[in-house]
Amino acid sequence: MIGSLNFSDQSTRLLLGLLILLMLAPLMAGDYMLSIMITVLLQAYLGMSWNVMMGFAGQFSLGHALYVGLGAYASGALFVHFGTPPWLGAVAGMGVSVAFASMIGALGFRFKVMGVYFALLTIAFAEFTRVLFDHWGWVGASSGLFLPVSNRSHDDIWLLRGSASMFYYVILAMVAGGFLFSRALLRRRIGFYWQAIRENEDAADALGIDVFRLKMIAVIISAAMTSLGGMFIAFFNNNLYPESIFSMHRSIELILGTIIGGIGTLFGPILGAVVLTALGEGLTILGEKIGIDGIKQIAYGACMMAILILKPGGLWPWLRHRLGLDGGAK
Amino acid sequence: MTAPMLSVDNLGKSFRGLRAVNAVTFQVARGDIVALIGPNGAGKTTTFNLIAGALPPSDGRVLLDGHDVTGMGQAAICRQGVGRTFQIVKPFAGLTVEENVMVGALRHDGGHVEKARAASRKILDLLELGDKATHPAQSLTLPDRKRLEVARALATRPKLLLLDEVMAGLRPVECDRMVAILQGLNKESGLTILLIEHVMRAVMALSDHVVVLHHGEKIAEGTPAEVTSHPKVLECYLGEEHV
Repeated sequence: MIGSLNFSDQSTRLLLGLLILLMLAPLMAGDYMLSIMITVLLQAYLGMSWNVMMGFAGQFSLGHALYVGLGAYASGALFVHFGTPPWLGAVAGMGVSVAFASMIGALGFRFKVMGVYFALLTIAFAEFTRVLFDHWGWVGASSGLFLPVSNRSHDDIWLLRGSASMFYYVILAMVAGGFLFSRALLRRRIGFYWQAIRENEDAADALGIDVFRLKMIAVIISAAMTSLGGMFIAFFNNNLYPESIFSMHRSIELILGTIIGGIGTLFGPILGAVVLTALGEGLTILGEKIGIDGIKQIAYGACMMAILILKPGGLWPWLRHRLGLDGGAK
Repeated sequence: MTAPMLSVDNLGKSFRGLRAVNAVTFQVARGDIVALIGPNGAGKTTTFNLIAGALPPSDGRVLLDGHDVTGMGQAAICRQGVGRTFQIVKPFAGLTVEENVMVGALRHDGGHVEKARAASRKILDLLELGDKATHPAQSLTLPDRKRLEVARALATRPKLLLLDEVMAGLRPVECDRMVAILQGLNKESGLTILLIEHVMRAVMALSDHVVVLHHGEKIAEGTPAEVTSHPKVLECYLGEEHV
């Protein structure tokens, strides 16, 4: 059944099994493994957030580090200066991100800035915001903002101070929530309208769809989701530098998993994050064994190219077909 | 006396120096099937785009059901009850055939997905695409894509349907089927249709009224029999020496 959980549905059972496995993981995994799993889940969450805009509605953003940074700095700075709990700070971060997203969307969509040119606009916003934060003393400017690390005796989920396994469960919940939210969007009218716009804007317009409004909604939802991920990064890392949080590098890293996993699919961002991290870690170990510097980067690039050439639609559509789940979960 | 379904009043469009449509005036009565014909480059599709709101007219007015809809934009005009197809088909290639039609149907029933799916199935069956409902739209042949265009436009439940060369590329038998389908829709639900068509077989069978454009201007109108014997029409189609 559309929109509801049907436990006899094979893909739903598969997902539940996976979720239970992930929930038990901290009991078995060591510190190193746990930190890698947090990285994977964070990458999956951010990829999902970007996927709403690019995968569902077809609007290309190459500046999503902007929303990561805004979410991170809003919640981080409010916590440092006023002791505001991160979840409230995240709401502020979402507000600021939504304001920026509305500005970018309104400019781009009103003046018909499309495709790569729209992506350039998103980069421009991310870059000048980085420069702004680099010179803003209240948030530490270029020397960074540091969150006080103390009170590790117990896990405080409201203030997000505590052990790695607490952070693991928080990001796991965010991924699960993001997945269910994305699925609900995709299966409702709004999801159909977004996909129609993605496939052919003119035809969507001729069917009475308010293209401008729907693109704005996609950009806004995507920005808000991404900035929540930014809050997580702030409290997990405890330090923020404009140079890294708003970087072009982060914007690209953020979308790679979804591209590898399958743009526009629900499971693609998760699969892509797993594959990319496994690849990265595996090649690091391999590189150390072989002992040639830089071999990791070359091999990483080669693997990515191979995946994109062989499976241009991403790994998930192919794997889904292999698992016989076609017609089930997207 | 009620207003005609569509009233095109002194409509004109210039693309820089080129006058594509000039002072075109005609009406489409409620429940009629009207054909817009003319040689290549006569301005038929441009006229269509002006009516559907895809292009803003340079001058003149478009009245739908007595209301001025000039320059309203395509989406707004669709919401007023005008469905259109594209001469160069524009399927949502990555979606299934059924999902394509659902996008149109979701305007109704409060956007309920399952109701839209059921409505789409009916329309697809009507257009003989029912067995291809779950196929990706990009796998369809051109004649099927033309049918899909019609299905998608119908799903928005228009009171006026604009069809831009939906018979092109269809075999005579398929063409007759399409004619029968459109006649059925017209008779049963009173759907008003304005179509651009080159296939005269379809024009003759379908139309109550024919408007002929040439070089952006209306040169004749009347019943199919009247226009096909009109000297100006013969001249522009066949050349002067035949008249």
